[in-house]
Amino acid sequence: MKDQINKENYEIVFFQLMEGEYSDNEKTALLDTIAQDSFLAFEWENWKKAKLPNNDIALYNENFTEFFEGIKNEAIIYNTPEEQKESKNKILPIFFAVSSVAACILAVLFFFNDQTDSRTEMVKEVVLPLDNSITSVDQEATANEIDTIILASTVKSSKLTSIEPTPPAPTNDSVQTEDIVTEDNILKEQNTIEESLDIIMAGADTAFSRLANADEIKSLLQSIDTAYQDKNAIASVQQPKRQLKFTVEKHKIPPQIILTSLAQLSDMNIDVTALMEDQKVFVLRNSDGLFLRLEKDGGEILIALR
Amino acid sequence: MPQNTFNNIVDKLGPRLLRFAAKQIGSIDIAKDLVQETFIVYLDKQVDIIPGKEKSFLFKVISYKILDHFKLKKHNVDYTTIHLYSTDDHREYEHKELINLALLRLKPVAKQLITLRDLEGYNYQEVADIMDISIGKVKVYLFRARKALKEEIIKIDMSYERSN
Repeated sequence: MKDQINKENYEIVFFQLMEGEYSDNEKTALLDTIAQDSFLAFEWENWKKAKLPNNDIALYNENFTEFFEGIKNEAIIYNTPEEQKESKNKILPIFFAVSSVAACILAVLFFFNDQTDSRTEMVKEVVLPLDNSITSVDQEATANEIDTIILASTVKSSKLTSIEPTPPAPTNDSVQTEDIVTEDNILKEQNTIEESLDIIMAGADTAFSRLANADEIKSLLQSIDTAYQDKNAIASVQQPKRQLKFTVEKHKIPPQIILTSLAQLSDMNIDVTALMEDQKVFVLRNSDGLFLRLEKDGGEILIALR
Repeated sequence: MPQNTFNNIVDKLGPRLLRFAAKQIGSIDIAKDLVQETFIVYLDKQVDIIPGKEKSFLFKVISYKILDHFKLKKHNVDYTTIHLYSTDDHREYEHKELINLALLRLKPVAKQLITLRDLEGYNYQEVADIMDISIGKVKVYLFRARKALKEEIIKIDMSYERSN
């Protein structure tokens, strides 16, 4: 038997009793000793309370079955094969990829839809040489067939040397565009261009008023465009190429500013020469008549051709 | 791991883990959270667990989680949530209520030692493995824990008698 129990070591002995470190005989002898001493008996009763009862596990089993079922279900997710998990994880990226492609397609469609819904409908666009070969428009489209003729003087070069044949223009309203790139050496004409321009501008007002048919319009346009482009060529000799472009389109918007003579531009302090440089000059026809259309400060100026 | 194996482990050890945590924390809800987290750790580490050592692994994990809970949070014991035992025997009910209240007043390590030893019946070596301490420390700490528990029981008993 281990040491006899006393007031100095009773706590250790009680602890060992509770932990089952004594044999049955030793335990019986100790309990007899404890029972004979009132102090030890009182303390032993308190020590016996310091042991948790282990008979309530059934209550935890019964009251939390739903909770434990939930835990079991978690294992189903964890035990899912990796391939299935990956395939599930791929759903979201694929969705975003498809959405992105669809968004791009919609953006492109919207862009082109917006372009076709502009205020003008392109019918034909041709580029004419700067010499007298501008007869192509007359050959390919009569004035009756063309709702609007747009003269575009796009200066790309001051050196226009070659003339390419004008391609045939369609007579229907289908949207087609054809360009004829011409080059001509205008340096020889530089001496006469300034004079021609002055003459043309001086007589432009008169010329506009007596325009009656498409031939005259084309002739006038040729003269104006040639003169202004040649002037541009003089101003920028270093530019190697020059291109004259006619664009034929329908004009659906009624005119906002109508001038009946070029002189009114001067009254409005508008420099026609500067205005016509580096921009398209449109000739258009609508229910109100035939007009030259210029763009200025985001707006437009229509000059009636009568 | 087969689903049936895991279900058996949950059925066998789940209630024990829940009781183990609830006795120390004093809140069934928090105990459920910790048990759930423990099983998630088990599922994550299931490949590394030696077969037959599931119980010690689970109690080790939840022991750390309980200690972390006490370290990280200012835990206020809700003494009203731990009445989870039979009330057939009034004396038994009083004793269980008394010892649960006293247990909640102990330090976390003392709670773990007593619950591991009394509720789960682990021997000193198993307790030492779970708590990562030596067997000698287990004996010393357990002795101090029982002594502290006894003193808390006496305090609660005396205050109860005074109030009546």
